[in-house]
Amino acid sequence: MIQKYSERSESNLLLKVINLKTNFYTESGVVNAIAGINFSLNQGDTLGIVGESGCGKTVTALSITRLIKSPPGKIESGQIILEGVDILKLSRREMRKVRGKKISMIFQEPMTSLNPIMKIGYQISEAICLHQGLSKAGALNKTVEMLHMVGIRAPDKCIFNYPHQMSGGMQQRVMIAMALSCNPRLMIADEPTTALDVTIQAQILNLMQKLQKKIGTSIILVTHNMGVVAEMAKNVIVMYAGRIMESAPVEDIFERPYHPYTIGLMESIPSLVSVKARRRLRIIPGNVPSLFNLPTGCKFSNRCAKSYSKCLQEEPPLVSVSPSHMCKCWLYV
Amino acid sequence: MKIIRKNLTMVIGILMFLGIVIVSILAPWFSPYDPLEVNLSQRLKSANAIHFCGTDFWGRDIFSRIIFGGRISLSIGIISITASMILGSYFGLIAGYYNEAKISKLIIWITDIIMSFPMIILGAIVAMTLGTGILNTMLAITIAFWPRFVRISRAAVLSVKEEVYITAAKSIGMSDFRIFRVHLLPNISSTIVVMAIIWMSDAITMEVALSFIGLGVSPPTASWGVILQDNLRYFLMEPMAVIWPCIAIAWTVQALNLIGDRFRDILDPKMR
Amino acid sequence: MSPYIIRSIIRAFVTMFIVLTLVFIIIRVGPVDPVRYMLGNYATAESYQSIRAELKLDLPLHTQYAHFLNQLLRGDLGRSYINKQSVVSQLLSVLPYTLELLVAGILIGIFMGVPSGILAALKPNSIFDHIIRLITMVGVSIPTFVSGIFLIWIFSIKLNLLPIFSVGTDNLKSRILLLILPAFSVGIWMLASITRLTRASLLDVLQKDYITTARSKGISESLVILGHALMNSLLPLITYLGISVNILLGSAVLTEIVFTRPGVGILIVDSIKTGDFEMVQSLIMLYAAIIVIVNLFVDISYSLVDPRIVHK
Repeated sequence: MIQKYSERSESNLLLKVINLKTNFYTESGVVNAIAGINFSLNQGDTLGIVGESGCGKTVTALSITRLIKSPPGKIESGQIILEGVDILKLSRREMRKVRGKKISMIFQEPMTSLNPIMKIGYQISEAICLHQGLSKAGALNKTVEMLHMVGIRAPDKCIFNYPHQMSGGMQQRVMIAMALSCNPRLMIADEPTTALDVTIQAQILNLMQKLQKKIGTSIILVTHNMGVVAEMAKNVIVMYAGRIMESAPVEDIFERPYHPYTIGLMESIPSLVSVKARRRLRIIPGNVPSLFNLPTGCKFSNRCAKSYSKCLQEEPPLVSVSPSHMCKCWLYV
Repeated sequence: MKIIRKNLTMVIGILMFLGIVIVSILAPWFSPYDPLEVNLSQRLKSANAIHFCGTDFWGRDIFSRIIFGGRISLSIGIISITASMILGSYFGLIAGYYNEAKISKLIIWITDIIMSFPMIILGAIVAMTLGTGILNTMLAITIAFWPRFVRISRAAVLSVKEEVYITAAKSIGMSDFRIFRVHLLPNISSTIVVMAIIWMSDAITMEVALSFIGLGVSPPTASWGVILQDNLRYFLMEPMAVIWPCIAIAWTVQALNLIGDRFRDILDPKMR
Repeated sequence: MSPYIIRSIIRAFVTMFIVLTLVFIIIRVGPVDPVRYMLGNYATAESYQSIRAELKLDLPLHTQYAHFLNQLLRGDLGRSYINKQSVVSQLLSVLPYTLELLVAGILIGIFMGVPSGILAALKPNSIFDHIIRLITMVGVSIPTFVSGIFLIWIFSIKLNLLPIFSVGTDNLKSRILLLILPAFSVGIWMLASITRLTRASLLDVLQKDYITTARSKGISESLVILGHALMNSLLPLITYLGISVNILLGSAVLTEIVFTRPGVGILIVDSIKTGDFEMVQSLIMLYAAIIVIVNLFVDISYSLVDPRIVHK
């Protein structure tokens, strides 16, 4: 049941996303929410997807689990290969077997993500019954185990509670318990700590790390918070306007960011150094463009201090600037 | 053009309503006969060339009665709702703005009690205590809808009054009355007007129902309800005498509902 | 019994009491003198006085009130002055007819409305959905007596399928047949509004985050809709039933008149016309009692379904 970290198969590649494109067909036109992204994730690793609102990170998360609302959204093309199987080609019924069992998700707002009129115990054991074929009683026992594992006191009483009777932090722990209850290979966390108080954020992140080591699950962590990424991720991809602008291992990205957008993101984080030095916060001028009105050429060109004529004409390709560090910028081609 | 296509139902409703209103206003020119004129030689005839909707038991031309009846029913409906809207919104404004004060609780209590009675019963109580007739019918309808307007305007005020600009206005010493006039009313008026349109159809229905029972407009003045009451006795003999006025009523009510419904959808912030 | 339920019951009793008292006072102290109304313009002074004494209207108000409460506690609602029968007996003889009409109307509304609403919500903006929205649009607007008249016209007069008047014997079959058209007359409006409400509510719930969570667990779509979504979307329905009782009672009155059915509605209208105030007083209080009781049931069932209410 619990995979030992040291046991790795020949290829420890868990997930490979190839040229994923997702569109939304709205009354005002077609939105290319994801315009062809590629990345991969190894077993047991954590991938951080960073970007501001509207960059497509949540859409990426939902695309992997195929939870995109079908009108108006549509996964146009690409491949999502999980343990050798392209899940985009699975039938709906087969996909349902994947969800909850191989891939699970936790969301930003725990209060609204839990069904308000169902008891916690039922909500968690529902998935267990479904995927692991246990009886109701057996599933409830497992539920109590999971609640204990996520650090909830008196889990045997908790299973009879309703979501509104718990604090935000506890609710998020319940969501984590629910997500991990069937030992998924991949857990996708969409801004799991954004809605929580700062002290609780740290607790939840700690919990996720601890459980990851114990169960051996891989994590995709979607966030706009660079600090969270620094803490949790092994590799990072930076997204903007539905495209990957930079991807690298976490140490590399913090030590030497290449893409002007990434640099801008780093510089706009207030740090003790900058506070002490009374340096003004560097901001990235302008706003995230509406996806209906993207600039031609490089999508970041209209806000980039280093853009020149080529940036405005043609979109740059994603190139390697060092082993395992890719960047999508004409400066480095 | 695109606006019309998007709101097709509302446009249809508006046209339907305008149609019947214009015909009613111009009744003296449209109607071929005097609605009260009795003609015993032409009793209960079905629709023909000289009597478009036939005649009733007393030989009166139904078509004329319907369009004259429209004047009465429509004006009762419109006037009552407008009066109810003005009075109700005023009280609702007070109840909402001074929400903690005793007056608010009193107003709410009264509205709850009035609302617990079915509209017909309210109308019946008015008829019993004050008598029947056009004015009393209007009064009954006004009383019946007053609590509803109080409720919605109070709810609207409650949601608006916490907005920052109200606090800002108070902080510069704006009098309550001015705040009502300048800030609150414009913001809640659209909600209230929408409901007024929707309830206007209920108001007209109420008038018809009351007159139908005999507790509203008194015969021989023709309102749609009175016509129904007159002709229902002879339903089996000449059903169309009842069906034609029903069509007129259904037409009007449907028109108002089409308008109000779509209007409400437009104003609802949840609509994508 | 949870404190919430106890509070609801107490509130119901208090409201009932207040309404009772108000009705009592208005009839006696209102602008129209009940006796004069009853006798009309041809009353002589003696008959006026004697009737007043008989009905105890010349006693001071508080004495009348005490008497009234006394009677009420004994289960006696007074006597109709017109036909000398006790109010309670007249009421009981017609109540079943009104009740069966109301229940049938509500059942039609729920059992035809909820499934239609669900189907429409599952395929929003499809042809099916548009047809349903059109039909409900008409169904909601049409006044009850108009729908009743149309139903009679189509099914009894033109198609000769269903009877309007009693066919002599009062057996179960004829009673059911006589119930069908009036029930639909009352039920059309209920059906249309419940369909709309269910549709809107379900559409709303399906957008919520917890539905996405349920889907992310790999639960089958039908279980997501019937298990997770439906229960949440039925909550507004329960409140709505409580609100609509008021409207249904009014519809029942008119439907009974159009279909010439016996019932509480006709009873109250006739009593008002003849000025039979003891009858009217009792019937109005009865209406209020029904509404208060129904609201109480709604409150209680809501608290059972939605755990958030109880814990407030």
